[in-house]
Amino acid sequence: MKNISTLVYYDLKRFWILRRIIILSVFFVLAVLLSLLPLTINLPNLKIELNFNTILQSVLSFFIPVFVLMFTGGIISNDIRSYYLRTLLSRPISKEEYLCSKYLFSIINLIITTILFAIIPTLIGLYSYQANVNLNIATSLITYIFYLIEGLLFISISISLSTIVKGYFNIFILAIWIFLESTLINGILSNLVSFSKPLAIFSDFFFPAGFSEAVKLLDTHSILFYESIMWGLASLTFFVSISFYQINKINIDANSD
Amino acid sequence: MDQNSLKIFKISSIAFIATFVVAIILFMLPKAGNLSSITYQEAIAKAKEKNLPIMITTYSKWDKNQKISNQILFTDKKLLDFINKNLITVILDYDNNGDLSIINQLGLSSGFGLILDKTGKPITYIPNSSSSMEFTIFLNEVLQLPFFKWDNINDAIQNGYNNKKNIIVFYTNSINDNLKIAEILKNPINEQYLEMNYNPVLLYLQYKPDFEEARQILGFDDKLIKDIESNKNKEKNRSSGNNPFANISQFGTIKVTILSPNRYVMAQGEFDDKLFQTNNLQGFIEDLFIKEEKRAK
Repeated sequence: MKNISTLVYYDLKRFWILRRIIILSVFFVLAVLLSLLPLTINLPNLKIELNFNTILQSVLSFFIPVFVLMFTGGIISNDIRSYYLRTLLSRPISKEEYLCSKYLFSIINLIITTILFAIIPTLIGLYSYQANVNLNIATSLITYIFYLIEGLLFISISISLSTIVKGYFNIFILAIWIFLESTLINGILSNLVSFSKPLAIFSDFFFPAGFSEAVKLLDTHSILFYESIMWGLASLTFFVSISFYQINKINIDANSD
Repeated sequence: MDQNSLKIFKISSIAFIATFVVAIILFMLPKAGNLSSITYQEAIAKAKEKNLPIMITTYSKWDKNQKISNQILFTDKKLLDFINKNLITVILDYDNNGDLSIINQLGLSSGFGLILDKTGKPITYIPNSSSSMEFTIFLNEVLQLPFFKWDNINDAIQNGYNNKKNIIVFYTNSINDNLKIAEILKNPINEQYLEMNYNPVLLYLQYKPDFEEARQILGFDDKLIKDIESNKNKEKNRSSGNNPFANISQFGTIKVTILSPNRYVMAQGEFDDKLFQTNNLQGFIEDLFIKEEKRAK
């Protein structure tokens, strides 16, 4: 555990360099300013009631894949190419500890960025819109946790790919994967042939979205809610298995790039 | 130190197998929500008896979006109470061959439910919403449509003898056209005019019994009747599968006939742009009579 925390610390230190902190701070300030925009323009009082949880779902479903793509580009392959992994493994650190630290590093980054760029601007935006906000903290917290686990699923896919392909090619494949899932499979095709069995297998097994679907069913306490969680967990454990299997297969002496 | 270890791989693989098996078991369980359902044929009989419209929704264990929608909508107690009070409900299962043929006949697609009047005539689609509140609003709107109060042609003729009013028959070829008529009748002046002067009837020509009635009134040589027949033949030749857009692609023509109670055609015409622009149903019907008079002369 000590090794893992040390590795995470160094990864975070390597990632959060001054230049990156400045750029992301500028984006954060811009996001906050944009959220405050409704205060500066005189919007008519529409007296509408907004459900925070619904807004949170749409915000997180957009931002989480984007942030995963941002943090996990070449997450393993670049360490191999730059001999960083070789250096680490010359010390008493196992490959499993190394991979655990990568997962932990990615999830910490995901938590920081979703709070900074998704949750805070949304709260400010809702405040400045002066709408009646229906906020249930427990439901919103569960929603956030489910989306984080969905993010972990994307991270596991990205890490698995990074143990197989070179450079930043892993996020390129992941981006196509997410694009296909959201636009082609669940967009165009599902409207035309949603009752087709092959398509159902494609969308359930190849493009897993169990946790975000479970969020939609939170209030129903139905079997489908638990089924969605199970599909999500099955996908997550599948890709985690692949990543841990692959990392053991990598021979850093023969495969530096 | 051994740097290669498959400990986590083994644990996650076992977890994968366990969750996958549980997911498959849960997948096989039926999940159409808590909506009560009877067969299509039973629903037609019950609707006539209870004088209630019918709501048809679809289900397939392979259709994720439909399953999610059914679970969200039909586990909401308020909505279920509302539906049970106002509608007879049928769930058609895509995985059942008998139900599938009804789905194809009705031109249903999985993103939509269908509302039928008490005789089984399709009146309008209703989109499967992801919020029960939104779906309740849709349902309320749908149940306000005037067609649910209208009689079938035989009852309207019978009423015509009793209340000395003529019968006005609207012919539509697509469900969307039903909504166009409803839009015209949203104007209270038009609705009032219709109520005071006529016994209104809707004949939806994609519905077989209505098509037969329409063929009797309009005649076998009528262009609309011929078009529908040729389209049906084309559809038969093209494919045996379901095409949810088949009906939508043929929309547009709304015909009107005014009949005396002894089935004499007094005037006939088609909805035109002028009617949609002015929203004046009375003017439109008076024009039909003037045209008929000119034609007779």
